[in-house]
Amino acid sequence: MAEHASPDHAHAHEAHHEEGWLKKYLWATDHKIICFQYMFTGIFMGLIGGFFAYVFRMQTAFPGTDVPFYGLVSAAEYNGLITSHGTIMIFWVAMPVLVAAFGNYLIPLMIGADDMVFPKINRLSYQIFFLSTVVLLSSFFVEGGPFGGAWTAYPPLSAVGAYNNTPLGSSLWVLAVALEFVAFLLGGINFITTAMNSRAPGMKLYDIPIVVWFIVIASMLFMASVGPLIAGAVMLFMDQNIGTGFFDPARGGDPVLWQHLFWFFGHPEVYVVLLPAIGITAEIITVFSRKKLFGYKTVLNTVIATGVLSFTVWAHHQFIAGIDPRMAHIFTITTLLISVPIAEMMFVFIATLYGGSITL
Amino acid sequence: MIERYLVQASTYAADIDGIIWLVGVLVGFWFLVAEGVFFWLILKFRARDGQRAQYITGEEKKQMRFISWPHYLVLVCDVFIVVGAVRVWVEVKQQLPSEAEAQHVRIVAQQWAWSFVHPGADGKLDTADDIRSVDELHTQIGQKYIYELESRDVLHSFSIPVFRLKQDAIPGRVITGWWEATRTGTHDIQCVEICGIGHGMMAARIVIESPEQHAAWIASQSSDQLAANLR
Repeated sequence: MAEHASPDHAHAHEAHHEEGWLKKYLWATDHKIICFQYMFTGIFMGLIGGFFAYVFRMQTAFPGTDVPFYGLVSAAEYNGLITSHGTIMIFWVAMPVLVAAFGNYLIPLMIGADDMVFPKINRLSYQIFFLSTVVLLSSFFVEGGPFGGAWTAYPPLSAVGAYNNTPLGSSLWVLAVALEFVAFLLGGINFITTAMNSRAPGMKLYDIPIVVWFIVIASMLFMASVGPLIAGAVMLFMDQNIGTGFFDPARGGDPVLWQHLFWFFGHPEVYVVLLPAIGITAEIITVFSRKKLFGYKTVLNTVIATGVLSFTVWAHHQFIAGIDPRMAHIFTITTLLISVPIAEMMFVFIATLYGGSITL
Repeated sequence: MIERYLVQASTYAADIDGIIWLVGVLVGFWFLVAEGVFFWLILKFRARDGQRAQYITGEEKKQMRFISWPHYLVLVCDVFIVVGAVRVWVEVKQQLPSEAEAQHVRIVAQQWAWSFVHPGADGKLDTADDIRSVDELHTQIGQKYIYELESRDVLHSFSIPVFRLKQDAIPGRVITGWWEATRTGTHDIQCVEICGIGHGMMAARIVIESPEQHAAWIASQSSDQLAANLR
């Protein structure tokens, strides 16, 4: 019983020396706490996104019957669920967990820095991310429900309330996604600056642990590609709310313009979430085979090559979307070229096992 | 093997399936080789008492070739895929049949239905004997058709799985393409681009007919249709 009595006392005692729980966990500038904030928000959103997938897949499996724990799924709800699932899983799970959480935790620890270079910007990054989460979830409680025009939000369906039947939900979706990008831009500034400027004395660029390189290059890809999409999001928001016609063909706009802006971001984004995951794999393989990574510089070159190539492949999402068919050839070739650096990474990981002492 | 699950009913369906096969076989080969070597190395170099890991940087030329040769081979596989893909793409999407041998058919997508304008007995669009229909497209085997795809509201995507044909419809544009059916039957047409709450129900039928059946269908439609068009 004594054990139960003491924590209260200890807690009161600690409060004199340490900052309060609220300040420590919710208003933190410590990179490790911010990692946990991103990680737990991501896991929470992952549960929501996973539940949505369960609901709309059960609806397809047993159409017209009640889905357990949800009820009957209407066509409008189905579109809302599938859109939210896609959006959440990419922007609110893969991004915060793989990029923000691991980046925040690993970069300062692995390069020997005390903390991020801009701890307050780091705090602001999570706060804006949290705000974007609230905005996205609030779209479930407005009239018409959440946005139901797919996570790629192709106009005119996403731009005109009469077409998508979710005028409020679609505006909130654009707002939430734009806020989320601002959050990761702030995070990216921190990741790149910290890795470039705050390394431990004597640590050269080729000494940086490979997973840090993967996360930093992912952040560079994100920062370089997100501009066109933020511009597109502003145009889409204006189309929805103040009646501009950027994507309205009847007034000289072009719906395909959005697809270019979206996928110019969207394809590098694939590598933004893939590269940190590959980097983590690389570290796991080296540690559990007790080996140095086979060809560190080769791996670094392949990551950079993947990053550069990822900017030249976006239109392979649009082969049948009304682009000139001749353009497809160029994008077929660049898309296939990306297989070379990615395959080389896989070969390197397999070669790392050679001569090791592998424990599983 | 793909045609066992979904019949090939157009001249280019087999070519598209061929590309899927080519990519599948090449990727499957690399997958099996990579997984095989991966598990073999894990087994061979598993931790044993008294045996230490070797120091291998992988920076020397002699070591590098173990990863550079496989990636040259991947590049060779890429060339095969590019050549195959470009050849099929030019045939399916880039080239249209000549006006002399093809008939035109107009496809109009809207939330949430497909309407079709068939050329009537004269084989030409925009004449008095055009046959209009909703959610049912009639086509004749051995005849090349050029479609003119339009949309009235949002993006839709016109897909005939048995033809291996898919093309987005964009408001404000007329998109052309072609097909030539090779076997008779009735098959699905789907909308494959999310287009609002009725997207799931935006299906239609394609009826592929022999020349005689097609002529009979045109004759059965013409009298009512002519009256409707003139009104």
